[in-house]
Amino acid sequence: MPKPIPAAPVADAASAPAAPPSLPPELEARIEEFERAAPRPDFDAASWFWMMLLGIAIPLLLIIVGWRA
Amino acid sequence: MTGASPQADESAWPLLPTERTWGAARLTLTLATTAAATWCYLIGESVGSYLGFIKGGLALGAGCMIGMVLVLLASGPACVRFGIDSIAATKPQFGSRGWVVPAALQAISIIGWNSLLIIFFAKSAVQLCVTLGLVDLGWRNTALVPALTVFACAIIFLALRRGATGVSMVSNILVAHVFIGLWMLYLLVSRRWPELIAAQPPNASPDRLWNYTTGIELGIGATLSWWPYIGAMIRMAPSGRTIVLPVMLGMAAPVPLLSLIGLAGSLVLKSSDPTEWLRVVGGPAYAIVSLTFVTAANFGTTTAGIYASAIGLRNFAVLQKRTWTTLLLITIAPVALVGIFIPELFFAKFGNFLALIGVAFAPMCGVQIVDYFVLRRGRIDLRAIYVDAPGQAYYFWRGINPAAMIALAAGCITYIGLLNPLSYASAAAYRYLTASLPAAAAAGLVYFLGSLLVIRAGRGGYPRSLPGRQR
Repeated sequence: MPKPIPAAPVADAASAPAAPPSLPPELEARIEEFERAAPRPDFDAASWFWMMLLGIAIPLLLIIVGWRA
Repeated sequence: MTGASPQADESAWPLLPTERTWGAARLTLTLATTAAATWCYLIGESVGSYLGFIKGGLALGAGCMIGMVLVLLASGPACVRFGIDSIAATKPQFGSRGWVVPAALQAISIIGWNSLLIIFFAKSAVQLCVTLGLVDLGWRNTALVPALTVFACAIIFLALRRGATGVSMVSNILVAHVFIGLWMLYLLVSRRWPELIAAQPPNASPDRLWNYTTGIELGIGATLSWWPYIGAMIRMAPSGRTIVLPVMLGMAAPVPLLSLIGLAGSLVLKSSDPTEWLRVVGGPAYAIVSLTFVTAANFGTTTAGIYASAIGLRNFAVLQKRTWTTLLLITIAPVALVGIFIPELFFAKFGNFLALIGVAFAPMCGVQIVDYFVLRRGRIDLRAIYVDAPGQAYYFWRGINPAAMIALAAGCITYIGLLNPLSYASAAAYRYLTASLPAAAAAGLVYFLGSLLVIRAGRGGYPRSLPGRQR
């Protein structure tokens, strides 16, 4: 006589975390590729230099020169 | 060719590094063509109401560079790291459903501006036809504006069927207009220099500092309005290093330079519209050149705007599976309908509404900068940007982050409290602070304080080392 198969434990539907909805396969593949790769940097030192020069230092200079003009 | 698969650069999905093949030169061309449009004359004319040529030009230049760096710091890091657009980049702050607020601002702003520019385009084209003797002045020309609007929308639609490649292609053709604009400026400056230096701004306040601050504020506001556009362009570039100079020089610099045309024209010839004053300065041949310039300028900007808006709309679940053609039609249709049915009414009324909408972009930048650099320290969960479900990092409460909403409102209230964007009535502190910078700072501060409570509640997927983080 075969052994009875024990019933699988039933998860409490109210307390179980909802499974995240599945993403389109191509989007999933893209996200996985980013997750696998080493974190990509945003701005490097040269980028910060140009941003500070063009976005702060030169505008301040222009403001001072313009006020005196 | 972009190198991106057609599906990728026509979606709001992250672009892989191998798909992002726009180098610095290509990005600069595209951004310059996008930035240069009729609004440059309007900005120049506004500055010319309060400041002379030299002071106005320097204040405007400084303001544009400051505004641009704010936009770059807000949208740039996430967009360039993951190849996503401006709207997807707002999900870590506003939530996996709250992003519809920035998306609505983007859609209204871009569609509104595009409608105005495409009507400008049609009017300039009609005027060009009249100047060339192709059509007569008469009642029939009123029908030409709607017809040319539809024609322009059809051309834009055809160009954008190739996705980002279409934007780049249009930019490569139309970038010449930027140089024509600079030539027009040279013409006016070289022939009218003594008058230009002596000209007095007509609406200048007795308060010199107020006038100067307003020149700076107009520059900051002008480039902050690039926030909705920028993500769709810079995501095509491979790295942060590739985007900084193109954005700062290709997008920020042409605005003040070409605005000098409107500034000079309004000061010397009492008209910011080069199609009027070039006829005075150089005769009909110059007028034709300038009309061609205006026509081309608005066409390029509208093409980039429609593309950015279509990518932004892609973030809506109901539009994710629609074809690119359908999405383009949805984006272009409002522009075409406005141009066909209510061009004059739209011209008269919608500018004020756009000015009010523009108030939100400074606080938006403040929120994004604090979120990325202070709270998250550069850690973005890409998966959470695309999954709207409880338990995900950016789900917050029902998909909305109240801290971001309150911060955005606080920034807008700060702006309007300092400067009424319609009447230009201002508070005392405005003359020292501008309105955009305090609005961005206030929004950033409120967002930071509100986020401490969000972090304490264990929401938002913030790094564990932050103060108030639940353990």
